[in-house]
Amino acid sequence: MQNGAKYNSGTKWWSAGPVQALFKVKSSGSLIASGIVTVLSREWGYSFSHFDVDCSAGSEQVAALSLAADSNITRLTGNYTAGANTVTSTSPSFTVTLTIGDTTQSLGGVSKLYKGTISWTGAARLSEVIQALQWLCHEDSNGTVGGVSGWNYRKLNSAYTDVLAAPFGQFAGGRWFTAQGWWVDPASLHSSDIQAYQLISHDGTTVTPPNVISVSAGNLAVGDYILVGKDDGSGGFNTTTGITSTGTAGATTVTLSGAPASDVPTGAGYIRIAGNAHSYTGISGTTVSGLSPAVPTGGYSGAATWFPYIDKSISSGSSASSGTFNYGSDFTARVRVRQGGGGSPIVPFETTFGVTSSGGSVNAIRNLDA
Amino acid sequence: MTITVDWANKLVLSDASLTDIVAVHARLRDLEDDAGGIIYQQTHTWKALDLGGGAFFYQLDLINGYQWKFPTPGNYTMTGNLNGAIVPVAGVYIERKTSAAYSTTAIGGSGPSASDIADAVWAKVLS
Repeated sequence: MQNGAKYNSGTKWWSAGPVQALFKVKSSGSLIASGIVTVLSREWGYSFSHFDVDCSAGSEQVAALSLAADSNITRLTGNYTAGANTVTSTSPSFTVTLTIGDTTQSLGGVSKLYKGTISWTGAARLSEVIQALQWLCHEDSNGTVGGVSGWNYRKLNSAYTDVLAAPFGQFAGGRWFTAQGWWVDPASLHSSDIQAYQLISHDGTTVTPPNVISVSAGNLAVGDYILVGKDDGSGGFNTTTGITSTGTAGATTVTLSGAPASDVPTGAGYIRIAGNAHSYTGISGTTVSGLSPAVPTGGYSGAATWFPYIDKSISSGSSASSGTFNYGSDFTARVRVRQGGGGSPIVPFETTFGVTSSGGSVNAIRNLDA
Repeated sequence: MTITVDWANKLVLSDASLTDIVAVHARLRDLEDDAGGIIYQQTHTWKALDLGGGAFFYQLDLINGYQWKFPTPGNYTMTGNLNGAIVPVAGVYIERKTSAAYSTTAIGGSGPSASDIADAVWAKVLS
């Protein structure tokens, strides 16, 4: 490639193997593109490489390329079509879309600036997505990335380091080491790939997806009330969060005084406000939505708040699970299971159990209490 | 009889005499399994020793620092093995009646007959 275009209009004039060729780098006494000739090796089925050769001094210069058969490539080149910031796979069927532009995103509690977003349809596996992106950058690609021809695309920002073998990041050991600056839309991920990638933010920070876990309890019965939360080390629950809630009577949203800890479920979960038990459907920033029951009469104003993992009466089934949350570090959870009054009263069950990177579970022991 | 629990101060409050130990137990367990009660430690342990013939020996022991309290001045009776400290209240007089072997209840049945009791006593004496 010279001066932004394929040399000789892209027509190869050499045979396989090491190439020795003569390039015109000066015209009418002026260097063409400062005498730089870029040699790209982007053949489908092989790892990519490129080298900027400074030919301004003339003579013979070496373009050092390194490539090998790419075992990640399992599809034929005809499987893909590309466009502006898109590439579509026929089998499996999905489309990858690249959105160029600043975006600040949080992953695993790490909020960082990224310069572009990769998203795709069909919950395609990463092993397929990286092939599509590699195709977008291969020698015959007709797609573009941020206005740059795919076959010539190197990186999202000139300050970044090239990833020679794969401009969108290498895929190794089932893990996608995404090129710097790209944010991967979590909503696009296949459920088996939730943790199978890592990012490098614009400022160069490596960001890895959180380990998402949950806690569960079994051997429950209809009519039980179960409460699971962090143990306070002295026979009770750790209800000290430093967070308060404010909301008006009848509302199904409350505003927290601060963002909850990273190990609080941000999907569906449970919250205690001024001692009152509520479930919620989601937390975004400091807003808790989908509160049930709604904020009681009188509302909440700076009401003490904490987040049990399970806090419910069992109405069906024999088990209960928390919402998923990010694993931060091991902790001890406390569980209480009680059923008094009518039905089949049991001796109150209470114990502690460990929550690790694999989550935690416990089975209630049911002894008749009559 | 209305029994409530002042969870924060660990007090079991009653506005009337406590004469049915089984009912007291059931009421406390019912309060403990509510959303408001489960956050707190359990109030008591419970023993129900089957003496045969429909007779039971019941015992309720307050634990975890809970205490009995009759907040309204008056005369009260605590019948059965309702163990636990009582918080003194001015004008409150309490007679505690504990049974060595059994007590009766209106919860869950009609209680032992006189014959059952006699048989149980004989069995105890002869054992």
